[in-house]
Amino acid sequence: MSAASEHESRDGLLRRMVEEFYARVYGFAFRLTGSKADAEDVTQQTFLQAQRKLDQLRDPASAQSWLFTIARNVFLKTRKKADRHGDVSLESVAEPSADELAADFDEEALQRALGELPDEYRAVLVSYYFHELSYKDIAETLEIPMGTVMSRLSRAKASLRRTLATEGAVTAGRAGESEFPVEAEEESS
Amino acid sequence: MNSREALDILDRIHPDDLDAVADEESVRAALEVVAADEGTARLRAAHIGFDKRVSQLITRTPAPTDDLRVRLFDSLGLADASSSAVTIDEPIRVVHRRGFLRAFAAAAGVAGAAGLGLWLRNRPKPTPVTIDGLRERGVAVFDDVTSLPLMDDEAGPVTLLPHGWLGGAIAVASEPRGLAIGEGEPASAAVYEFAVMDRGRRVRGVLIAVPTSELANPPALQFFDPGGADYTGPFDSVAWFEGRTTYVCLVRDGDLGAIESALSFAVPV
Repeated sequence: MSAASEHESRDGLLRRMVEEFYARVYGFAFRLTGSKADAEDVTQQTFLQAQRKLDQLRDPASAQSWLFTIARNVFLKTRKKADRHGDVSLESVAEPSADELAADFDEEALQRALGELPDEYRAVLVSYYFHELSYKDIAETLEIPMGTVMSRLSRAKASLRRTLATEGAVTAGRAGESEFPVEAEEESS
Repeated sequence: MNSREALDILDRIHPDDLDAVADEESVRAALEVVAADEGTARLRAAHIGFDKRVSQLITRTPAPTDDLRVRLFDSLGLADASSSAVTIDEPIRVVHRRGFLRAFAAAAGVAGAAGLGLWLRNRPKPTPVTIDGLRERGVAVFDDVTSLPLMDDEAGPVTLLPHGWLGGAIAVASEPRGLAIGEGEPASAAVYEFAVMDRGRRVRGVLIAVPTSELANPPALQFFDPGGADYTGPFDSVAWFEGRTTYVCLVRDGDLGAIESALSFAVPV
């Protein structure tokens, strides 16, 4: 293949990736950042990195996953170090009852609850729910042990349940508490 | 093992892996604890229902502005694909994981591999069609989809069924039919007949797929949402877009809920 046609091919692939996936990448970034402007920035950075690293994409069929991985890393790198709260174990956090969990909530409430999670936890949680990744895939893309993925996901889900089940009252009543320990994560895989 | 520990064990299992680990000692013990106590079982069901709700909501994100798309092309130094000088290549096939929204759904009735792709013929642009126009065409063929010609599978871009419609509880006809959306035009919309079981009742429907670029009024929804339904006589329909394709789902009055349920999963309690 000539240099010109190879360039054209790369541009063609990139163009198709933008057309096919920019809205999904934007949506994914929105759930991570909680802001339209930040989501646009992450989306733009994602495609710029994709352009630079296009040779690393072995299979166009995995382009979406590849873009999400880039977006997740862009998000984490552009954020300041995640907020770290106290060392409150999951055991000390009361879970909502089944009746409380039946309470309805909407996208905005979900986004607020996501916004309360530390970035690393949110990245795992959004990867799980939005991208529907397996634990193994999340572990590989975030370069953390699988045990850590499970631990972070478990705590993030518990936090989400607690926040959304009784939004408002619970948030006010438990201000300052966190179930996200700094050192207590399982590091085994 | 107490209830809390049992719920924690089960909560840490990825829904896709449930079958694979069901025989592990700790998982089996956890399942027994849940089964033995009604309150724990209710809480487990509530956890699953909560997961489902979050999964449904989390992809309902604001649509990006078209300005973002333009800026992306600019920043990447690419010509805008909507320019007439640029040929749009075949879309990239996306391999969807079997997500946990569908992980518990019955695998029966899955469309065959041939149903994965449908193509929309490359041809001169017809007069733009409206969502209402598509809906009316769908109503007209609702009970006689097979009277439409099969779409030629040899040319044109390949697109996908909507997210969640493949590999779940909805049985989709494996071969799409072609529907001309303009007078004297070749087929440019794909029509799928589908069916789903709803509490012992068979619900039929029609799914029309068309390039969004050919619509005069693209839909605002980015996902199947019965809350955005429109009504045409005794039919209900929802129109949404995914990627470059717009879908119109048409069912008989009151049946949209069955589709929504089928796109979700059964709570295994």
